[in-house]
Amino acid sequence: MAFIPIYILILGFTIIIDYFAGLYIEKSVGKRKKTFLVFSLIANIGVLAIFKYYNFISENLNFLLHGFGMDKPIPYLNILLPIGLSFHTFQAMSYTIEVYRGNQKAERHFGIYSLYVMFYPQLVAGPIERPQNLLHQFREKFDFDYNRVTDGLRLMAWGIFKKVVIADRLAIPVGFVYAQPQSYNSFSLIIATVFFAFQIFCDFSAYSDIAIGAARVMGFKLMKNFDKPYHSQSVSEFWKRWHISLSSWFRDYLYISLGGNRVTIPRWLLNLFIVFLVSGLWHGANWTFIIWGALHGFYLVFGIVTKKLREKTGLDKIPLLSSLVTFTLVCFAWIFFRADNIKVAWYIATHIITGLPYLILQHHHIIEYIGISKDELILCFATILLLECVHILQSRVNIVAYFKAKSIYFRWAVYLSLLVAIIFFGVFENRQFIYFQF
Amino acid sequence: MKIFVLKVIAFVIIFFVLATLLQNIIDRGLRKAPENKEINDIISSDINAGILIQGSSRAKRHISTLVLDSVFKMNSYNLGLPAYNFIMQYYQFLLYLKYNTPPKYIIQNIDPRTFRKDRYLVNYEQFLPFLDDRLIKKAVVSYHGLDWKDFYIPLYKYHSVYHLVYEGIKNNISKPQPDNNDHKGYEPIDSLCDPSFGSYLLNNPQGYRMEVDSLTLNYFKSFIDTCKAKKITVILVYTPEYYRAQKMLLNRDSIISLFKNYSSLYNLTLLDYSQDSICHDSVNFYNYQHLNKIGVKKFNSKLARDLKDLIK
Repeated sequence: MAFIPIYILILGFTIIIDYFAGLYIEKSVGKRKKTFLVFSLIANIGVLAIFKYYNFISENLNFLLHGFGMDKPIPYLNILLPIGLSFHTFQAMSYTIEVYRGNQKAERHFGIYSLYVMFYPQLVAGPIERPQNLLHQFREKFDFDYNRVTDGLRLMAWGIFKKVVIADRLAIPVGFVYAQPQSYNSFSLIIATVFFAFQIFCDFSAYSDIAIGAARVMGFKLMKNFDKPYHSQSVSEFWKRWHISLSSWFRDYLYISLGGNRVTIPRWLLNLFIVFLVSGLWHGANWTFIIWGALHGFYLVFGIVTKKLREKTGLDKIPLLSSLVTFTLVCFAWIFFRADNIKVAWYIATHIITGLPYLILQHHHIIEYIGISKDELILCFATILLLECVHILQSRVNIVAYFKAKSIYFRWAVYLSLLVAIIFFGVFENRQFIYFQF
Repeated sequence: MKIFVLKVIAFVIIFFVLATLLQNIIDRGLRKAPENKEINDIISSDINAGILIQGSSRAKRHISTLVLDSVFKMNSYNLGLPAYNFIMQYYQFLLYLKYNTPPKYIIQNIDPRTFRKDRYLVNYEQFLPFLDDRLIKKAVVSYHGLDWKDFYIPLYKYHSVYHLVYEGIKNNISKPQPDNNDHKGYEPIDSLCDPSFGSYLLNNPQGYRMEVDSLTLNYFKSFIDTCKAKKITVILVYTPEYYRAQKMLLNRDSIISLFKNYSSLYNLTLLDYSQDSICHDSVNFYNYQHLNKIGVKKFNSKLARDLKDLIK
């Protein structure tokens, strides 16, 4: 993943293709209409395929062909993945599909269409917007609105807090353990995996908050991307709350195109599995991401198949248990997402529980050094606790409204505390947002 | 819009005032901490020594203020700065002159690392409570480790060092425990040869070279010039170093020649103990370049004897 100025031409290429494709799709009917859509999709997916998947495919094919005595017949391309490619490509694709479906009029103003694809707050890591939500906003005139600007800034501040205080702090022990999992006991592997679950949530949702907040300051309204996903009581609910803009993209453009649930049950389950497999592949050209997607696909299929059985036992009716099981399943899948390769992921997946009984019986040496001091470890847990408290509060009251009703002294005291907390507890080494790589 | 801008300005001002206030509280508390005693003594003008000892950790661990005080009946103070080359030592010297009367004598410890090219802050926490001093700030910025945020954003310099924040606030409430082993900067180590001693030699079978940095040499020249102008007698001392480790330094001869050249060029006394019998017995060392208490005792009696002709 890289930012190389010349790569802006790739963005320019897809913008031009999709701009004209939109116009022609709207003008055409029947087969011709479909041809323009297919042309646009091939162009977009082609760019993704070359920059994101070519080397992965060639590497795997070369490995297979090696078995037939051929020595690397497919060349390796020395290219880097342009930053945010998957995000703006998907946003561009949603435009042509919506024009094709008749839900969106083709944009005639080239500048406005370009802005739709390149809108800077969400260009590199989403939320992946829909033309129906975003395009018309570029024609609106926004006056300065005190409440709107402060709302946006508040959201940005919370995002920065989540990124530098929580995500980047948790990244230290996670990186430490995942770099050499063989050196750690099961307890450390569990801690690192749970920490990663919160790291990736805080990292990604922080970017979304900053993007939504920045857009809000300027007057634009972007879609919500996260909704307390770890409070989900099932994996299917998790996907309605996690990276909402991507999961809804897959639902609207892939799942429904495959027939959704209006097919036979086996085909429906296969559709679900395919969607999650593709979702895994979207995240990265690596088997770890494919397995991560496949695991989620399996969870969903298994959940549907066993639904009646679970309803009989009544286990589904205990919300805390359901949330805990869902969180555990999601965490287990995160192992594959975080690990550098299959070997590391497999080691962690097979050792995360096995050593636990032995450790519990031993009573000592459970807590190992995982790259941070005891104080920092406590701080990690404290920040997670704070995050969860905010989430619980969010589910009970409208925090923004509650906050606005308070006196300026209270609000400013909170802002100042937040700022001091960012300065004191923030990690300021150059750490990029995880999702920039996708 | 106007109200918004005014509120932003007010918020920034309030933040800076409160954060600066909190930072000053932490700074003040930390200055009282025993580990910051040397710098605090300097800027409190509490030293005013007749004999000042300068150098790296080898100065701090090897040259006893107790012996010098009793032999020469003169106040001595050890300003040895562990892990730093001469640039930081020079700035410390300037800081000393800024707040204290010039010493009559400076015992300048020298070793192959004195002029090495090394620009990374070691134990940077020791400087944090004093960054408002322009000279300390100048010294710190000549090394890598802190950046503009540490100097201009209040409280930022204390991010991720929670123990310092805690200690700084605590020291304002209760008096910190005094260091009972305080010997005016002199800190001997009471330990025998550490296990890494042999492994160090094993890990460096080919030996190593120590690069001499021309910029650091310029600082040394400025130091000599300042001392001459202030009529301070500088005595260069090369304290004992384990003989086997000496062989590892491939360009040792040229470094020793450099010291000798400076000694004759500026008419400075050079006391070289690197070939002394102390260097041949590992029982005198706790690692390859530092004497332990046994070695220090032997060395200081020799040093005091040799200094008798020079310190009057």
